[in-house]
Amino acid sequence: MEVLRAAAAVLRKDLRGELRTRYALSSILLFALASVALVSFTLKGEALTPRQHAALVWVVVFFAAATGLTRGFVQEADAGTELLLRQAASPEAVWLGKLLFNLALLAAVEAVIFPVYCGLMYATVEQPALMAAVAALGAVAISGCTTILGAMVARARSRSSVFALTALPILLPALLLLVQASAPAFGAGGTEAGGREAALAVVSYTGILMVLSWLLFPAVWEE
Amino acid sequence: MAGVIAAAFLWSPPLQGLGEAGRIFYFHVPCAWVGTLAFLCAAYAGLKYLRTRDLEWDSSGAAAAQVGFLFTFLATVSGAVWAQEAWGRWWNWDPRQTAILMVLLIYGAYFALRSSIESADRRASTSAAYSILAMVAAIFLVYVAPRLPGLDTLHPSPVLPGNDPDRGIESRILMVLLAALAGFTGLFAWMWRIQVRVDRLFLRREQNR
Repeated sequence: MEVLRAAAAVLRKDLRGELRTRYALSSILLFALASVALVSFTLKGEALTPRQHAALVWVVVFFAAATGLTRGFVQEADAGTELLLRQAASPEAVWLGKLLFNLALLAAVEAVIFPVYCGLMYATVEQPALMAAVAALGAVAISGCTTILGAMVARARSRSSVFALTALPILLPALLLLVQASAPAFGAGGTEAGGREAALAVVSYTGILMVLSWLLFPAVWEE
Repeated sequence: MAGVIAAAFLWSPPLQGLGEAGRIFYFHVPCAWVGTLAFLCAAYAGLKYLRTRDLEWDSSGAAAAQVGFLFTFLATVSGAVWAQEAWGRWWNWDPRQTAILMVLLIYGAYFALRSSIESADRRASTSAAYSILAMVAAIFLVYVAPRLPGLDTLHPSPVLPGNDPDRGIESRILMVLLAALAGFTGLFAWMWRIQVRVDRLFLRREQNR
């Protein structure tokens, strides 16, 4: 379990750095709050269907995540610490540590966005437990699918736009299914079974991409 | 190829329920098939690159993705034309149309990623890894997502008249289709080789500078 210990060390290091600067957390949160406020302001309390609520909240989460999730690897590249990290830990441990860091970041952001969204948009959550479960699943899916992309774009120019460009199509199947799975929580009737199917499909898709990322990450990370 | 085109227009009987416009079938389906094949080839070249670290495989993968993008685009356009004829609208967010648009987005992002990395080795390994991830996402979008029962209730998949294998395709239609598939696959192989050779020339010119 050498890998797990090293991954935990990478996670601890990133969390400590993030707590010092709060760069990623504040940029994601501000972006998300601004877009929720914008949506709420432009719609002026218009009544939306459960499915529209589900779609909007996941779009907000995705674009907020796209602004901050590159932080983990970009900061290593900018500070020139990539080489040290390559020496200190195996590629798998780095990937896992960064994934857990992104997961923690997303969980914190979602814990704020979902209540704020429901408050500002007058969306009633009829099944809070289901909502929380789908939100957690979404955090796992988004971090699981995009962590390797962060390492890829850390080498590119104009990183954040390339990250959004590459992450969107890779995540799209998961996002479409997450909207499907969370619509019943907002009170969409009759699609309960469809929601469960969609949640299972998200799990399998994320699982496949995570296994592939685990296998491909050394090729992206090493020189 | 010329034989296939002539047969598609003259020899094959019109598809039931679609009339003469149904003949676009012989171009639409092979284009979609070649697009899928090309992206498979790109992912295979990516895998090969990661194994051998030979830049030849990298340019080969990029060339396959370029040709694949072209054919997928043609499949989208011919599909839209057909949709206008058969369903009365150019674009109606049928799961397949959505999926093919997403596949175009995926490979658009692939080219954006390639052009934003300067070092050749890094570009090669990054785009090889991305092409493999992209292939999985594309397979999921095209073959898995439209068949999920939950999605079907929201986007009812329109039945293509005369295109249902269960009802049996007439033998002449099948023959022309198979010939078209073979012809388009040959066309793809030819275009792919040309693209690889052009890339090789560019590479050599850069090295000689």
